Formats: sequence, structure tokens, C-alpha cells
Amino acid sequence: MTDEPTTDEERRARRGRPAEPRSNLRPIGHAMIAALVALAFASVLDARALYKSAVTQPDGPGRDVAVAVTGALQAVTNFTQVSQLRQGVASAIGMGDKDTIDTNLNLPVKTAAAVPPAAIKPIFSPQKKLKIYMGGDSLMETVGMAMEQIGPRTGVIKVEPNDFHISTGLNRPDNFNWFNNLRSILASENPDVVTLMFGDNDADAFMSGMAAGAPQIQSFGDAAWEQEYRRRVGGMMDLALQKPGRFVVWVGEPQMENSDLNAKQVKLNSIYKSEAAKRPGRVAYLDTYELFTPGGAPYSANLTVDGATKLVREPDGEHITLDGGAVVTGAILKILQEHFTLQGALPPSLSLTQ
Amino acid sequence: MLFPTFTFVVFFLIVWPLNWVLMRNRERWRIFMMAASYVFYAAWDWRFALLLAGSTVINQGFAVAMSRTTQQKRRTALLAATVVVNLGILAYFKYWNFFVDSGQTVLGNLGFEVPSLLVDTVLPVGISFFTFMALSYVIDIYRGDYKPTTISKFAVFLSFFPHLVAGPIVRPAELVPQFDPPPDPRYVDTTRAFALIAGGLFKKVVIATALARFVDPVFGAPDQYSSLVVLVAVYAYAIQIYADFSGYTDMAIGIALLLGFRLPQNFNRPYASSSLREFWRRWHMTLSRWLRDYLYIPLGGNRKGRLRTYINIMLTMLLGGLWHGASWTFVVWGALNGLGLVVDHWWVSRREARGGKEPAASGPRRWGMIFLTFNFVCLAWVFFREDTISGAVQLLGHLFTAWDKPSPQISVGVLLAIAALLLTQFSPPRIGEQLRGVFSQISPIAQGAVLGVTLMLTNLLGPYGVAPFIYFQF
Repeated sequence: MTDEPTTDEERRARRGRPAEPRSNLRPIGHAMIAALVALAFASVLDARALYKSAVTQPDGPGRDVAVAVTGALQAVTNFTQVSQLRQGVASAIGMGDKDTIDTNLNLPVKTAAAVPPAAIKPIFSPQKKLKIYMGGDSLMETVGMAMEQIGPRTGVIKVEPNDFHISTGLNRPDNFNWFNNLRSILASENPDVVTLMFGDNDADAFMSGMAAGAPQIQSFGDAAWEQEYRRRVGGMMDLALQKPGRFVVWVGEPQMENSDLNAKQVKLNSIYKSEAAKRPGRVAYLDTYELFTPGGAPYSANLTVDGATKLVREPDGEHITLDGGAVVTGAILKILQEHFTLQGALPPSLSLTQ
Repeated sequence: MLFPTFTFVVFFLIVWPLNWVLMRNRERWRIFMMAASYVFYAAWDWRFALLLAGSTVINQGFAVAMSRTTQQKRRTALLAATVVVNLGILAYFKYWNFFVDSGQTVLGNLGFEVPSLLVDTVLPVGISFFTFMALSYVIDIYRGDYKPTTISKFAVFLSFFPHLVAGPIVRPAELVPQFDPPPDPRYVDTTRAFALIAGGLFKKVVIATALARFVDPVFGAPDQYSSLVVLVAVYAYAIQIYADFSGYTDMAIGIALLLGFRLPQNFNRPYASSSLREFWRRWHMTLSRWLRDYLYIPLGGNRKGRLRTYINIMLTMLLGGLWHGASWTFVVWGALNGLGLVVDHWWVSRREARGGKEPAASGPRRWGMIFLTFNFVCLAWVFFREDTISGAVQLLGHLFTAWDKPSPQISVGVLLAIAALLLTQFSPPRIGEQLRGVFSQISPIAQGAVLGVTLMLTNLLGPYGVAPFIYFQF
């Protein structure tokens, strides 16, 4: 802590030399030309990537302009084959699909059959652990983290790596295709329980990947929007339920501080809840709205958990803190205990009050 | 507004030429640069701009009041008030919930029932950085090392957008004198600027992001991985945080150079350090010297005997740890580094007392010291990265208990990213100088083509969207 830092610049200064040789200094006009050429050149080389970035923007006039401009640029670079340079490099390093926009949902067409309550609940033990997958948007981050911490302590639950993807949802597969992602996770990891949480980025009328001939969506919550969003929510559930015996926990959205956003989350929650109800015995809906604000209480970032006040919501009024994630995890474990016999050290239920 | 975004490119393409056009009229330039910086900052939240403006007015007020009095008592009282106000603002936004939560836990364990005093606030981006810069301005004036400048110059100094949100932490004597006379547009260090921006962008967007994808799941659930994977994740995090933070400040320094201003270097190949003392002279250098000049030396530095030196080091590092965030993990991180520095100082004084020599600039002993230093720094980073002390201890324990656990493979990309960044720590500086020399001699069009291909590769290897930046939380 007592010596002066020794930097390259200081070393040069000690030798009586300027920080950079004077011959390296250039007029600012040269730099501006170089910067403009660099941006133009990179735009041409990256035209496909720019187009994908434009397409995946939130809906609005800005997106329309960006799509039009980058679409034209992409058409020119495709015609002149300039885009092949980036594509060639991408293919050579195994990233050939990076600029592809995949909005195909490939959802199952049949709703998973209901299952009557089993006389004997499936048994899991430290020898045969229950594998649980946690996937969703940024709200899942802390819920998944809490499950990663609490789940293994039970000795009977194995938690797959937390699969949250920030700024994603079910309405924009062009941005992130959750349907393909879940399909590939199920194939590679084969979990016993799939826990999903979406909604914060789906409070919008715009959807990509619409089926051909689907009715036109005019606004968030209209009949066309609801039909399509239900298809996606139910489709995600059915994707997971293609394996017999697998169980889905759909985590609903908690109350939001912003009243406009909250009204939309209430609508989304009603869809999650009713789609879960269509698949009794196989999908459980976790009502986090009630969990964080019991008895219809107004929004609060705090919650009294077992007598101690905890900050359960982030200051943005949307996201969940790690303490909040632990509350949700406790509720998930409670649901799992109702459905499975878990021969492990399950934590006791939490007492929650506002 | 983050540097590696389309919005910032548009912003900078407007601000950059106007900066040079207005440069000759100093007053207009100051108003323009202040307005541009406030637009940059308000892009996060307009209320942040009010906070920055408030900090500017308050600190300038104290500085002017201090300069107008010769009474030492009054000057000291004014300084104390400045420190209380600045640290009070910082404490409210950054530390209130931490201390309240810790206090409530202690009182709760003792059986007292206390009402919740937690507040629902957003931490203003960069508040730790500009608060420290404002403090250095007022303290330098108190010490007589610097005279108050005009409010417009001080406002530009504090809000200058390249350093505003993540440093480097600049001292007034380094930046304010550069405002007059204006920089000469015929001789600008553009080659270094482009090298810093392109290199910083690559480190931030490609290296840090690639490593974060590997590090995050392992730190999230270490018991699901083998000891080998956890060990590589610990090394990977050391590289990730370096790439992330040094990449961002390299871009800041490069952007300032394109505007004609020189900001201090913030990183100097820290992982090539052969002692912890050397590491702290090379890592986040502007914070280290701030802590040294405004905390360690005023505490007495090494002037009051060996024991006081060690106590001063520990205090400085503990507070330096807490500066990074309101969590006990940062306190432990600071304590570990303080302890390491104390041992380092003790070791050197013992060697000097015995008439021993410093290790040679190269050779096995020095390489051994570099290896030890790097591993100690990596160990401390575990506490920096984890959310809880128990989580960090659990992860460290896992390093020794799961060597035979089946685990996912470590990708070649992760190993390449670690190796590439470590290699840059040991490459001779003259290689960079020679490359910059060649680059500066080619035409602007050719320079643009080289930079264009570099941008394309960075974009290709990086993720879609904007990667989060670790140091914003500080």
C-alpha cells in the first residue's frame, strides 16, 4: 500500500519518453474516418446478425425501422455474398446456427391425459433421488438458486443446473426458443419434475412464431392473443408430460408493484392456473401472488417469514430476492411432498404473514 | 447506457464530433460535455442525474467555503461535514439495508422484536465511484494540494461520462488541468484509443461472457460438480472478473482518449504479480491509490510502528472490501487481502532485517511467488463471488472432497479463454507498442477495415444482447 504504482506510462515517463510515441499520434479526423469505415464494414459483415438483433427487439416503431433497415442491408449482403465471410468463420468454429431465427414451436397436438390420484405415491430416496429441473425467465434466477441450495440438503432431491434466461418468455421464440430449449433439456437430462416460471416478459401483445392462419392479435388479452398464449402454455406443459410419470410445477407470477404490469400478470396467472387445472394430477400451479401477499394484501417488498421480516422482492418491484426464492422453493417442496413420497430431510413449512 | 450497445454508438457518434467542434470555446464545451454526460447517466434513471447534480453542488459548496476560510478549526469542521454528507448518501443507498438486516438478525437472536426498517431503494449506478471522486476533490483542497475550480469544471470532472459509472477513479489534478488549454486535434492518441476500445470490448463481450456461462452454474451448485471442475471454475472466475472490469475501464480510457483526454491506467497485468503488495499496485490501481492516499496514510500508514502499520492495512482493506458491496462476504474478502498484505509486509521486513535479497526478476523462485500470489487471490475471489460466507466455505470444502465425482466436461473454449487472458499477463509490453506502431502508420481506411473485422469477430464470438457488467453493482 505504500509504493507508487508502476505503469507502462510511468516507465516510459521515467525514460523521458511520452506516454505514446509522437509518431503514433494522428489527427482526430483520421480517427473519425477510421471509426466510420469500421462501423460500415462491420455492419456489412454482420448484416445477418444485425437483422436478427432487430427482429428480436420489443415490438414498436423502433423495431419496425430497425427491421426495415437491417433487412435491406441483409438483402444486399446476401446478393453480393459478403455475408459469407462471417458465415464461413461461424461454421468453421461450430457456430453456424448463431444467426438463424428459429420460431418453430413444434408443440404436441394432444393435451396430456389426466391421471387419477395414485393409491401409492411414487417413492424417492437418497438412493433414488428425484431429479428436478428449474427453467424460466429472470424471475426464476433466485428461485432456482434457492432450490440449488435447499434441494440437495434434503438428501433426496437432485437439482439440475438453474436454466434461467434473462428477458425471455413464451411469446418471442425469435428471441429465445423456449420450446426447443425444453425439448432438448428433457432429452438430455430426463428430469422427474419440471418447474417452469414465465410471464414477466410476456405481458405484451406481440408474438412471433404464430401458426399459419391464426387469428390476428390486436391487443394484449384479446381472444386471439389468449388462444395463442394458451396454446403455448399448454404446449410447454404437454412437452414435459410426454414422459409418463413426470410432474410439472408451474410457478405463477407474484404481485407486481406497477399496477399496469400487475393487471397483465393477473391475466397471465389465470391462464397458467386454468391450463394446469386441465391436466389434473400431472401439473400443479403454485400461486406466488398469494404466497408473497397473503389474503389480498397490497404489494410489499417485505414478508414476515417464521416471525422475521425478510426482503423478498427486488427494488425494481418485479424480481425476487434470494430470500424470496427460498420462500418459493419451500412452497415447491411442499407441493412435491403432496405428490411424491420423499424419504429425506425436508424442511418444515414456513409461516408467512404480511 | 452501457458502452457495448447500439444506443451508446449512436450517442457517441453525435457527441464525439461536437466535442471537437466546441473544444475551442471552453465555456460552451463545458456546458455541452456536462449535458452529454447527464444524458448518458439519466438513460438509466433520470433521478440518478438529480443525485449527481446534488452531489456536485454540495461538494462545490463545501470546497468553496473551505477555501474562503483560514481558520483551521472551521476548515476541519467543513471537511468533516463533507465526509459525513458524502458517506451518508452512500450509506443510505448502499448500506442501510445491510446494517439494518444485520442488526435485526442480532437483536432477533437475543429475543428482541424490532420493527422492519428495511427501505425499498435502487442503488444508483456508479455512486461509489463519483462519491470517492468528489471526496478526493474536497480533501485535496483541505490539504492545500488543490484549489477549488469553477463549478462548471468541477461538474464536468465529476460527471465526465467515460469514467462516470465504473471509473477509473480520477483525481481532480489529473483531469481538470486537461480542460485548459484544449487538447490539440492534430495530435490525438487514436491508435492507443482504438487498441483499448477493441481489446476492452473483446475482453468484456467475449471472454467474460464465455467464462460467466461456465462459472455461474458451478458457483450456484458446487456440490453437483467434481473438485476439478470447481477448481477450474475458481480460476475461471478470477479471469472473468478481470476481463469484465478491466475490459470496461479500458473502453472508458479509450473513449476519453478519442475525446482528447487522458485517464489514469487502472490495470497493469495484475496476475503477473509476485506478491500481494504488487497485486494491489496493479489491480484496480485508482481505487488502491485512493485508499492509500485518503485512508491508509491518514491513519498513520507505516509511520507509527509495525503493529500500527498492520492495523492500518487491515482497516484499509476491510473498508475497501465493504466499498465493493454491502455484504459480509466482501468484508471477509477484504479481511483476507488485508491479512495477506500483513503477512507480505512482515515477510519483507523480516527478509530485510536478515539482509536477504529480493527475488530475481525471473527464475523459479519468482515464478513460485507468482503462482502463490495468483492462487491466494483466487481463493479470496471465492468470497467476493459467493452470496454467503457459508456458500464460499462450502465451495472451498468441495475442492477437496469430490475428486472422483462424475461431472460435465470442461469445454475447450473455457480453457482457451483462461489461457489467453493469462498469456496477456506475461506478454512483453513492447509487442503491443510495436503493433500500435504498425497500426498508426496505415491509412484511416485500412485502419477501419482492421477494426471492422475485429468488431465482426467480437460480435460473432459474443452473445446476442447485452451482457451484464459485474462492477455496476459497486
